[in-house]
Amino acid sequence: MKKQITLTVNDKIHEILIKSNETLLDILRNHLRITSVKAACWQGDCGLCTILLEGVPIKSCLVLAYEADNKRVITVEGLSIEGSVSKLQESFINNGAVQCGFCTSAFLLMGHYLLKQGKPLERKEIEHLLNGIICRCTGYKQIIDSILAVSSISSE
Amino acid sequence: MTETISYVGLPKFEIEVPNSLEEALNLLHIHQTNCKPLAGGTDLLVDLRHRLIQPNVIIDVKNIPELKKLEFTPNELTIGAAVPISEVLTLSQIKTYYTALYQALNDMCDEILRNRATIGGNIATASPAADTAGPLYTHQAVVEVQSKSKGSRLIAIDKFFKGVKKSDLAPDELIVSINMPKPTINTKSAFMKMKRGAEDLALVGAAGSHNQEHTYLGFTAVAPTPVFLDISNLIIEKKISENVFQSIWKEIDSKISPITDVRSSRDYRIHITEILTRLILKEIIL
Ligand SMILES: Cc1cc2nc3c(=O)[nH]c(=O)nc-3n(C[C@H](O)[C@H](O)[C@H](O)COP(=O)(O)OP(=O)(O)OC[C@H]3O[C@@H](n4cnc5c(N)ncnc54)[C@H](O)[C@@H]3O)c2cc1C
Ligand code: FES
Ligand code: FES
Repeated sequence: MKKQITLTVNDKIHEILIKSNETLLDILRNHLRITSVKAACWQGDCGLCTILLEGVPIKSCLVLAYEADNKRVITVEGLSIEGSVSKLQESFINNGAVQCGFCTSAFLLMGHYLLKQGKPLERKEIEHLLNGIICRCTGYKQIIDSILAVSSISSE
Repeated sequence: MTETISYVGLPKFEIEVPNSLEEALNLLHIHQTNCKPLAGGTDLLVDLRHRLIQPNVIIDVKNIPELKKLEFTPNELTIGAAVPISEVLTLSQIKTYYTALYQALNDMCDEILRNRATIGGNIATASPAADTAGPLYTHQAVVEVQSKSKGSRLIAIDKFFKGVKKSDLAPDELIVSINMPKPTINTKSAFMKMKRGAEDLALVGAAGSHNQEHTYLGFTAVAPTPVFLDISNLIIEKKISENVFQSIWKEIDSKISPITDVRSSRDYRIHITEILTRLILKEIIL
């Protein structure tokens, strides 16, 4: 059965015809062609399909598309303001947190979410909070450094 | 538009989103084994993807008020079956009074999946490695389930698990809530798990609680179902001598039957169970 849903992605409203067995990941990549949302496992392990749904990080391969009806989705494109990079994106560049880049959108979204909570963050805590996303290149250190750097600027 | 993701999609099913418990129970009554409740979907969607199950109807239970309840009263804690773990963790009393459960939830899945995964889904899956099972036993949890045919019934957590991925739930029964009495002032509890990486399933999980009257232990991933032991009668003094430990270990050893799999060998699991038991007892009895 098909159903029409209204989905706001990065402030743009879309009316999309979905099938009941489609996931949010299927919609974002196949219908909307937002290919910054990656996928590698389709079963919750890699975290590369992470997006923000109503501001909260979820793994879009494990969420059915109809659940996003009338909700707001943010993908990495939604983090840059009018084409310029955010503080966190700049920090990723400065700290060399990007190698192949396949995991970068997911870590930026998660980092953005953690910083938005407004609590001071410690290295150990960031490590624990990031463990749902896999990076096979960087060894995580530079990613954590990047988030820590922005966290300490904003708490000064 | 052509599908660009080549990996197999989910099998076909219809979705129902009941707004009341009555409506949900009616749907379960009609569809029986042809339907499956959906909470966070972190087990269900994986099983669907791998065609381990192929229900015709998925019943999303996240709009049912009774399943969204999260309440701490002077007598007990009630956690609705569809409350995500991240929300359960916001209740400050969890850490204070239900330490073992807090420790398990805080380290379950990962920070992203905790926004979706529920305790109801964790026990309904009835995996031998279900992280919440041990803590729920040590906190003496009772599961409230409802169906159209049998009405409401309460299942003590130690009667809930029946085998690998088998529980006492009938196909038309829905878990409404998980309830735990408020522990007495001097109760201490703890949970520990041994795993390979940051978010792997437990090799062994161990939980314990202790007060003047009772000492309970719960283990996961060491038998087809979680293993629960009431060792109150073995705790004769405030200190656990090696002799007392050996009598406790004898009981545990007779009840566990770990397997060898990709994660670990049987012998290693038995060894870890012993170590974790020592650590848990040290943590809760002092
Ligand atoms: C990457 C990854 C890591 C994981 N890590 C862990 C871990 O560390 N520890 C652990 O224990 N588990 C882990 N899991 C398994 C899973 O996340 C948990 O078991 C979770 O608690 C399931 O809850 P859910 O709400 O997502 O359940 P769902 O997937 O929605 O449902 C699971 C099952 O329960 C049934 N169900 C759901 N709600 C009800 C209800 N109210 N009444 C009756 N039946 C119901 C469903 O029909 C289904 O069969 C992991 C899973 C993934 C993908
Ligand atoms: S694709 Fe790997 S977690 Fe979603
Ligand atoms: S940069 Fe390559 S996977 Fe993370």
